[in-house]
Amino acid sequence: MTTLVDPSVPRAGRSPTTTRRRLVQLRVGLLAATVAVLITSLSAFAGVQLAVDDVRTRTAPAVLGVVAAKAALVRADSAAVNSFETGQVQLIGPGQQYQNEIALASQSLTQVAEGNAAGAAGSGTLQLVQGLLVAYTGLIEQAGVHFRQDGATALGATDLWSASRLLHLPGDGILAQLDGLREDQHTALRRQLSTGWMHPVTIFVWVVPIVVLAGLLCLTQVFLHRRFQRLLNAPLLAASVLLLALAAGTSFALVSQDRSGDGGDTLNQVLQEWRAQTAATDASGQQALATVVQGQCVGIDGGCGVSVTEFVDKLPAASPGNEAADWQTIKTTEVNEKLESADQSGIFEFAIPGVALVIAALVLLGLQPRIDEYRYRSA
Amino acid sequence: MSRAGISLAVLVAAVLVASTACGTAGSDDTVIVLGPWTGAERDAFQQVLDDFTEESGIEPTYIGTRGLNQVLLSDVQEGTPPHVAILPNPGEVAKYVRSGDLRPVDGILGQNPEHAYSEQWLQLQRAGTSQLYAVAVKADLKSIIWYNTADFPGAKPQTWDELIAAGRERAAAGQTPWCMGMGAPPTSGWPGTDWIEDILLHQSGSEAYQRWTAGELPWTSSEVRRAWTTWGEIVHEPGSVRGGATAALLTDFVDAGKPMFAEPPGCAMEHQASFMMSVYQGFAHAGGALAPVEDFDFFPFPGFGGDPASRPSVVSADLAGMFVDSPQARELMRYLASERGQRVWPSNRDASAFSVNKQLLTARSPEEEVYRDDVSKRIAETLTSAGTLCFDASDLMPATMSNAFYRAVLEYLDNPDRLDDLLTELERVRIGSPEDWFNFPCER
Repeated sequence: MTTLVDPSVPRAGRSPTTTRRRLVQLRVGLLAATVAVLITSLSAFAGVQLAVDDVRTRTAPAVLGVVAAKAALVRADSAAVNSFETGQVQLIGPGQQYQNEIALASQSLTQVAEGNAAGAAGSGTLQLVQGLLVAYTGLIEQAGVHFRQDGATALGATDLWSASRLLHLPGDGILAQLDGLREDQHTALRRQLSTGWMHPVTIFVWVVPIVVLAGLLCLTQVFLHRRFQRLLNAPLLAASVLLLALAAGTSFALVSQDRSGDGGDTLNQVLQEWRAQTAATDASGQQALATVVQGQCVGIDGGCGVSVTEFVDKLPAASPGNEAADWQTIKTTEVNEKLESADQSGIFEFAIPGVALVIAALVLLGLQPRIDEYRYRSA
Repeated sequence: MSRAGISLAVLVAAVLVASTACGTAGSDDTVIVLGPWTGAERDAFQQVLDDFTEESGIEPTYIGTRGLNQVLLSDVQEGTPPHVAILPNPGEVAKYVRSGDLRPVDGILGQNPEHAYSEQWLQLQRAGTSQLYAVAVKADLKSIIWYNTADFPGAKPQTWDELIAAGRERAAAGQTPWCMGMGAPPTSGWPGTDWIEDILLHQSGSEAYQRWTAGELPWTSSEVRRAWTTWGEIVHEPGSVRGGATAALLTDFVDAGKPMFAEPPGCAMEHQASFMMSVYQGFAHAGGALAPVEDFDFFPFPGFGGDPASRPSVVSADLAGMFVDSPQARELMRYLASERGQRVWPSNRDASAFSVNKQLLTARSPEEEVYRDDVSKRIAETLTSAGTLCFDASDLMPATMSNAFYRAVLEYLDNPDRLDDLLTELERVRIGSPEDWFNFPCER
């Protein structure tokens, strides 16, 4: 014979006061865990998205901007020297390509200034580079004036040489300053991609409150089952389902993190390949410079002095640096695409608080009637 | 701001509100120092700052940039100057005193500043006012001519005529007398301006030099013109400069002295400032690193008559000035002016730095000796002596004038026939720059 038991009636042997207290404790625990889930999930998701957004819109363009500026300056210098070497300078000065590349370098430096992630040191280097760039273009123009007025002269060659030295001087030259600036920006980018909410371990902080809340929901179900003989509490079951959905939504942060990491890797690849292209173009330009300068010298050591002699001795072999512009566009686009795909700030920022609010409401809905029962019984 | 940003901002704001309620405001005890030194010089100056930290517990942050003037001006205009900046010459000090950006640091030299600094350096550090505004961190002597010790035995030239005669003797013996390099982009030409300055000072006297520096002596005057043509006796004399004028134009100033230490030497003398000691010490040499006295030495820039003992010298200095008055910044200025602060950099064997603090020359024991070789001692003695010291003219002139001066040197080297045109053009620049001239007297 089966005994029918009213599930709303608690089993005998337990004090109504103890049960009620336990129910209230569970309610407080569930609500506290829900708030913790809200805070950590929203922080994790927003933190990752904020970092990705910053990398995509500021730091990565700044790193690319520095490299683009350097490449443009190397191409400008090479174009100017070629114009002097071939004699085109008599008619067109340093040439249209030189002008275009200088304009491109200036635009790239402006882009770096907008996204500078290297702080005051980065700003200082940018100011210095912009100042040196003015001096560089001034020297090229002066060289052009001398070549056009008097043909190839020692003074014109000196101006061209000085301009190129200003660009290439180890440590203090414009290219060396840009290398330092790129390293500073790149360090900032690597830091952004590996610290805070972007750290592979830190991201799991948001999992802990979710596990705690899920555990509490299970515990509550078990308690209600034992105490009130109910199979499942429907509102708490719904809360558990929503919690799973919230966890799944927040886990998109991991996807963003991974994709931004891919974007960072592609950027590193771009930088390496870009460096090789720039070096090839530069070698060709420096060979042409040696030809122009040595054409003016007679006497001891070729009459050019120690600096030119050492420069010629150390010249690397020239190799073609063709198709650099096309290649650069394709790869830069790839970096941008990867970072854009990592930026997933869609409805999640609004969905996470909404879902957490509904979970809290369901917790209240699931527990309040039982608590109310005991209020009357203990009264 | 993105939506993610807004969400995070809400959370951060909540946390901040909570933390502000129970937190306390932190005190700003940082000292930012902006200076022109990078690389090895930065490391050397960092040692000075480290010693300051050891003495005071204050940890300054040094930012080094080759574009100091540019960066500092920008910071000052934006209202965010560093606490302390190292200025390259007293003209820059005076400029910021005039604009009211530089703070006086009276009292940091103690009761008897004359015990540590000669009167001319005290005046320089006051920037023409009655208050102390700057402290010379490092100084250089410019009126010197370097030579390879083994290659230049016997008596050294005392007068310009003896110098020219010595050069001609060497040329006749098949050796090029002069090492020369004008390259220093973007200010190529300044090594030539040092020549003109020294010649004008020694030829026409400190009064004419001071008037010229202050923008009161025309470039077309006989004194200035004579200085240029006198330099021409060296630079346009065939066989006088290694590689000729074109090589001088194309050679970096730091490379120019290398042939002096080749075997056989490619040139015999170089007119350069005292900082060249560290450059020479960095040259590769069969017998190891070049050493002062054993491998290279100097003689003072020769005069054009008069008592050799009373000859003036051209000097330059880097000066620290305080832009933000805080107890920590003031403490750093006091330290930089102190004997201890002045001692650190010149004690660095690889740095070849010189102080204008007289106390460094009165060592109590051999271990305390800052300048350990005769070359360094003689340079330091000249810098701290009561002799006539004149500040580098091109450093004091307005930037437009200095740049035109550098340029004119290159043009003159290339084509001496243009001298009158060049001086006329320089004079035009002087007339067009009526402001920003500084009258720093040559003091003794």
